[in-house]
Amino acid sequence: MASPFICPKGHNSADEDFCSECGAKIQGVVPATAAPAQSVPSAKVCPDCGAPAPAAGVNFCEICGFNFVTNTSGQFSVPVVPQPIPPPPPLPPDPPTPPAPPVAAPAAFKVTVSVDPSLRTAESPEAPGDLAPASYPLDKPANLLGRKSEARAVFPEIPLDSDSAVSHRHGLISVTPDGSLIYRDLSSSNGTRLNGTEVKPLVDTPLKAGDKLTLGHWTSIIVEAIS
Amino acid sequence: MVDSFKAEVFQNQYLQKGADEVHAIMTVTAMGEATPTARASAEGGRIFGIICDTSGSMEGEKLVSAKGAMIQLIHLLPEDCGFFIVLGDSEAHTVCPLALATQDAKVKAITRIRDVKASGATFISKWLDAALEQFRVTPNALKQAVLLTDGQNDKNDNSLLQYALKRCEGVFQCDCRGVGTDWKVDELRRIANSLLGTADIIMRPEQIKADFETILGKAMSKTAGDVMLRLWTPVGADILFCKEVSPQILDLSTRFRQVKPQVREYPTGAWGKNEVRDFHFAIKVKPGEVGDEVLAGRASLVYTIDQVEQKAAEARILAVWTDDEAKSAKIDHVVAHYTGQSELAESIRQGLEARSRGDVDQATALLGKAVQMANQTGNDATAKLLRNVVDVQDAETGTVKLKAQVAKEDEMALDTRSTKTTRLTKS
Repeated sequence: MASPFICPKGHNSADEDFCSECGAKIQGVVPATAAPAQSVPSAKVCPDCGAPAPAAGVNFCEICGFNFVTNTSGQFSVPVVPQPIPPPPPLPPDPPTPPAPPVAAPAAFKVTVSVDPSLRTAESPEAPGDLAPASYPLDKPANLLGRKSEARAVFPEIPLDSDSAVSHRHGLISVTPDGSLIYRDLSSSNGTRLNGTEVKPLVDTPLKAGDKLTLGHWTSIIVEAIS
Repeated sequence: MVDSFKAEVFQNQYLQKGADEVHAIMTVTAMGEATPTARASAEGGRIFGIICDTSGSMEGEKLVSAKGAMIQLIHLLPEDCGFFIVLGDSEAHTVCPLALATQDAKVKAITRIRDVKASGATFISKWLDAALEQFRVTPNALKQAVLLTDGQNDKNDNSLLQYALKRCEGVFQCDCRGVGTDWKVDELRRIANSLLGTADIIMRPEQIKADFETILGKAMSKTAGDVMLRLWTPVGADILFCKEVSPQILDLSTRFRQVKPQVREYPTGAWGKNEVRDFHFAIKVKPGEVGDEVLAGRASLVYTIDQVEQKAAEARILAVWTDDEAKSAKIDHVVAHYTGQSELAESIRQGLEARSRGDVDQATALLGKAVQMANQTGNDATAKLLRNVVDVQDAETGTVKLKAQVAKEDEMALDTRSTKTTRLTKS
């Protein structure tokens, strides 16, 4: 029985949260069918949760918040002085330096963030009318969607600061080695919808050009291919 | 989708390094509205069986009262409910085979009961087999019964009773009542536990009527039958026990069906609307390293509608190893409460046993401990029953003196009802 989840000990699990064999917690869910997990033994993994380590310059594990600078675990427990990370590189998708992780090639996708007032619910505050749509290239193996937090040292690649119903660590768009996209909601408070359907938290869902993610009060994110 | 059951887990998931025992209480509530299982029972119908002792010892007031109680019970049966009556002595007599409780059928049943005379011995295995035969007619119905007896089972029937119980287990549920004081608590409790029912004493014959009415009311409130508690555990884990701990203590540990190597199912019988029960799991897992987090158990309720398996109320039992002793030393207060209630029941059982052996010191110590625990945990019903057996000098320290004279029915009442637990009030 082929199963879609692999636990840290290497068992095939029928469940997405804990291994159906040994009970170990499954984090950094990778579909067993995609990308052979052990093919990049050199790639760093988070010692706490086993998720792929973030790109150079990112100090925290996207999944569990492990601090790679001080090598301490814990979600929000260590109030270290954050080393400010430069904001995402400017739009031209021409990487000046070859990136360290196995994923190479210029970004093939970008996302365009816009405010869609029609997504508001009755309780939502007034949507800001003066925010122009912004585009961000998906030029890292993992691109965090969320609200920036200096205190928690969260600096998302795709900042959604104006929407208060977006979680600090809301979701992650991963670029797999074969160039396809995967979205994972990081157990956000208010969830994410993909083309109008609520996605399961901590479960990977493939993304393609033209897909629309909606989250928070009014945030709409459209995935586009860069030609 | 409306969930038919809701589950909540109480535990301290933190274990100190090297620890391997995980305890958790799961509170399950059958939701009131839109229970999908209501449909199941409507399709299969419901059947109530009456199994009544008519052996020689019932002669006189007991039989008169039992007849009166049965007649009243028949009157109270809803018309869409199936029923049957088995009268038992050395043989079983199915005086009314399974029929819908229409006026006609009721009148017929009542005339047959009126003529019954008491004679013969007590062969409960035969009674149960006769009931089983009736219940087998409609496999999809919600099947419940009441068994009334006044004496202990015939010695020659004891091994047959074991087999009969095995056959009946999982087919129907049965509440057992002993009238008077000539029956055996252990025996009746064993039957009730096997058939997922309650066991209790009816001290005086005139109380049978009221008790039967309560039993029928409870039986008719059930909407979901044959609900199983499914428990998954990781490879290498050991389920130390699985007990229902509220409303009464019912050890299900050995009652499982192994579904898959890592999955066991425990029977929980029928559930009524808004019914709440608590289950206590103890699972031994492979000890992990500090910082490890594993799932020690995954529990859910499983039932079948139209031959389609339904799963509801999944709950997760976790184990997280920590070197923070402040975290691992804490005992969840719900777990602590039910551990106490189980100890209380055990102290009473052993205390009464010691008392009947004539071991005064042991009995005094155990029953004193029981008084203390009943007092601490606010189990007033049990505390009151204990006071019939011991003179309490100081409840707080558990200082007691055995009463010189104890009515047999008081002792039996304490014994049978000691497994009833109290729930913690929500704070």
